[in-house]
Amino acid sequence: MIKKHNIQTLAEGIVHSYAQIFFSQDKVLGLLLMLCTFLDPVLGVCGLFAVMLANLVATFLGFDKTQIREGIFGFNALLLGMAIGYDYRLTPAFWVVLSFAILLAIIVQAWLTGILSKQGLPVVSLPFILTAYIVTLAIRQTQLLEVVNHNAYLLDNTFFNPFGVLDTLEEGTKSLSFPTMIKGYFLSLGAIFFQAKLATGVLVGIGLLYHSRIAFSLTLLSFCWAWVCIDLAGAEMHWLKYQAGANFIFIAIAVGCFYIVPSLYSYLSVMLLVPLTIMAHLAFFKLFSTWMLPVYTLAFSFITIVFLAMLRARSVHQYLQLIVIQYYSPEKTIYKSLSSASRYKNNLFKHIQLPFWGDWFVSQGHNGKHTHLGDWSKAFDFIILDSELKQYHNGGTEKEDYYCYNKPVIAPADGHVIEVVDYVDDNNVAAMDMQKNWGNSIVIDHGDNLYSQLSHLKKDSLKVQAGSYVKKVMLLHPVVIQVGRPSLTFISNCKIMQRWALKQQTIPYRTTC
Amino acid sequence: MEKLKYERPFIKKLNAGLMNKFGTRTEYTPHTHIDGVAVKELVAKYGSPVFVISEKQIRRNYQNAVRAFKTRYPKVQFAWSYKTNYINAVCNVFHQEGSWAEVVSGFEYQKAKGNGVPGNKIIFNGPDKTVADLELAINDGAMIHIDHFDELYELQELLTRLNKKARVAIRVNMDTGIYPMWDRFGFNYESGQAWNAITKIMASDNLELTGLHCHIGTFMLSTAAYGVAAAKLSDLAMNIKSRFGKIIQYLDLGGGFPSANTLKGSYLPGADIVPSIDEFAEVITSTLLNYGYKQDELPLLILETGRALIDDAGYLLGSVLATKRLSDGRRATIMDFGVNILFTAFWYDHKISPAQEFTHHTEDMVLYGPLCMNIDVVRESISLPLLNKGDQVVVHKVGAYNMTQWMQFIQMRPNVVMIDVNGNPHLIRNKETIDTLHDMEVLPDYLKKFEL
Repeated sequence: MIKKHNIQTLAEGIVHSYAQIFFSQDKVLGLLLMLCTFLDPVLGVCGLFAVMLANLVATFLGFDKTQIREGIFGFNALLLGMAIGYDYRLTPAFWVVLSFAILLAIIVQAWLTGILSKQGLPVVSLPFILTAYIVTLAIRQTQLLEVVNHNAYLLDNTFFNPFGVLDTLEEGTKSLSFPTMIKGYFLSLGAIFFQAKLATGVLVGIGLLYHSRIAFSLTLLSFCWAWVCIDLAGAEMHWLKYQAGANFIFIAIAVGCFYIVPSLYSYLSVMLLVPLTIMAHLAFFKLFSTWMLPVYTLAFSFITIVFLAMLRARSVHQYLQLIVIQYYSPEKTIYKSLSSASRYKNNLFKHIQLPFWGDWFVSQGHNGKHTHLGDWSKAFDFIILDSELKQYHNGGTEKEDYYCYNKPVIAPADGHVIEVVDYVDDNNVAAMDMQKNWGNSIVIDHGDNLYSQLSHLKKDSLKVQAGSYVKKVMLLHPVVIQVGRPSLTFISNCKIMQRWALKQQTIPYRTTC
Repeated sequence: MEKLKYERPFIKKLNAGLMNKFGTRTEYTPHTHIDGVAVKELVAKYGSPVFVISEKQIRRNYQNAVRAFKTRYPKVQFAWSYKTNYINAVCNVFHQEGSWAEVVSGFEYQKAKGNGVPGNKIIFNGPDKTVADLELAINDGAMIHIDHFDELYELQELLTRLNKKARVAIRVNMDTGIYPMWDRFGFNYESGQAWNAITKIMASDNLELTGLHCHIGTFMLSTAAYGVAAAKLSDLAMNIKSRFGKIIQYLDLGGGFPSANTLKGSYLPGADIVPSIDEFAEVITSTLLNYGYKQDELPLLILETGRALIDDAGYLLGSVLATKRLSDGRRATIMDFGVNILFTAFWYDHKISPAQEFTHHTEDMVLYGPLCMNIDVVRESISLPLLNKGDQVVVHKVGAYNMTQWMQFIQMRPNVVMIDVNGNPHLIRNKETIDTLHDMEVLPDYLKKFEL
């Protein structure tokens, strides 16, 4: 009954679970990390067991296959497996406890995901930490498992070591004049996998570099900056660099390039969050030290979740852009983000057409000095001119002499007509109506807070009513009366507004032909 | 001191107290310049008579017409009617302004092609389309407007033989409320003949019905007829859409817009009674816009205006040959132009101005042309100042039809000059000489010798 498809899903899920530690789906990275875990064979076995069990249980319980394949259910289990395997000796009881711990991890993961994903927030390694605390506290009260002393364990390891070559490598590097900071960085990378070997860290670093240069640079930058900050804070906290190193590495990837589009601002926010992570770690360390619980990556999880929550709560989303589609590759994310910004920036604009047919002239435009002032500055007045640039023929004493009188006016874009004024008398030439200075007008709601008003229309010639839907280029009205000052008559005012009332202020907008 | 000009004595009846119905207005404000070029100069350089066309006025008229329609309707196209004036320079002015070509015969079609008009922008009307003409039109993708069933059948046969397709329209005649109804052209709407033709075309594989054409009259003095025509064509188009699902791409409303010339027998001068192009535009466009077309199915409106665009851009300069007193006492003035080159004198009372200053004294006279025919009368009665032999006159609004319907009778056809927008005159058609005639004639050998 085990289908080939299911086996493939499981296999992918296992490899991706390793890669998910570094927020990646890169199979090469995943396999490399799996190899790194086996540099300490005990941890390797525990980790692999945990991952396989977690994925099987998740599949059996019926969770989303895509998520299982992406390793979402596996990576917390992996960390849990390695953490418990690090603390206790491998006895039959150990495997039973580990299995139940994995089950708990899956339950907690599903529960936390259900709560946090509604806010658009990730769970990061909270399921691992919470489960690890519960298991540790529980086991401590029993005699079920035997605690392992790590220094002794290291001695055991060197005695029985099939990977002898790596030890020599380590010895060799010890003699190199490595800056301590960089060494600390690689040691922290190794510590993620509960190993104190420099070689592990280097291999992990190479894998990370292979996966993403952006992620690697971020982690290096973040760790070094944390190192400097801790040094500035005081020499007595030297131990923090090694204990909390993983936090700085993970927060660099999460905030710098995974949940946020990588940019100069994301790098800057990583720098700003590092001191916060230090504070959080110190706080949690003090808090949990009463129960003798290790902090693991709690500081990183906490700071990441609250920071992302803060970003979502903003009104104006500037500088830091939250990722919409997760490509699991910072390089691809940047590329997609930049290219879609340049491809679709014009989609924000509605296509507005000029509200007439034929060729008209603008007699007063935006910020015109006669009447387009202040709130009403972003409006156009249109007139028709003949080849001698005259607005009228036959003398210009009657309003019918003017070319723009009684010409059709069309809707500039699709929308609903929300207000109509149709009762204002037509003015004669050079007469001005100072009260109803817009004459007959139509206001159209184009949606998305965009309105347009067409004014100075002919009396009693409306073809639509308030509430009717107009499509772009639909005939609205024959135009036009003249309202103006002596020697300047302006007709057919058209303005775009952001609020719907008849006399609201105008905004500049672009039109397409 | 300059020698005074001699004016002959005249006897004028004194009309005490009774005013002319036009007040004291006279027709004889002298017209000494056309577009800034002196009339005397033109006559000295190009002889007399000479046709003078103002390019500036043509462009102004065209732009006015385009503006009248384009500000009222989204899709408008003008096609210059070649039969109104097919001198290449004039046609190219229109093409430069964006006009297509409308031709009614094979040679006009060749002229349009020769001017460089692309085949698919030539509208081919008319009842006389030979097989060769049709073949040329099909190959060029011209818009063929079918006039009668025989032409339809011939076209179908030709297309099957050539294995090609053609874009066609039918000309429709209808009762638009005016008299006379031109039912000799095209297919009749009311009797169902037009629908018959449409169904035949829709059933045919090699014809594509792209438009509907009508041309309801000429020198129309009422705009309502165009409203009716537009409505009836739209009715056909809607029925085609609902019955065949085919969307008609254009409606060609033809021409027929009047110029400001005064028709013979008209009580008021033309400028007072003729509706402006804006009024025609208003009627046509509002009929189409309110008919009920879907916004993106509005057909292209094509207009084949001729006269209204060019009539007032054409002038005829002529000279006085002689003055006479007729037996009943009337003054007669004989000009060097008559109905041979001013064919429209049969239809209009042209406005004629002297080309130089005169005193305020005028005389009622009859204007004759140079022909030896009794019908050669330019104006039966006109009040002009006392002209002498050699004085120049300017005849107004002669741009339409005169330069296509002129005769090579007794006098040969004169020069045609066009004044461009910068005021420079250009000769656009040479006057005919004796060689023009001799080149055409073939004398059989046996007639070459004779003894007198």
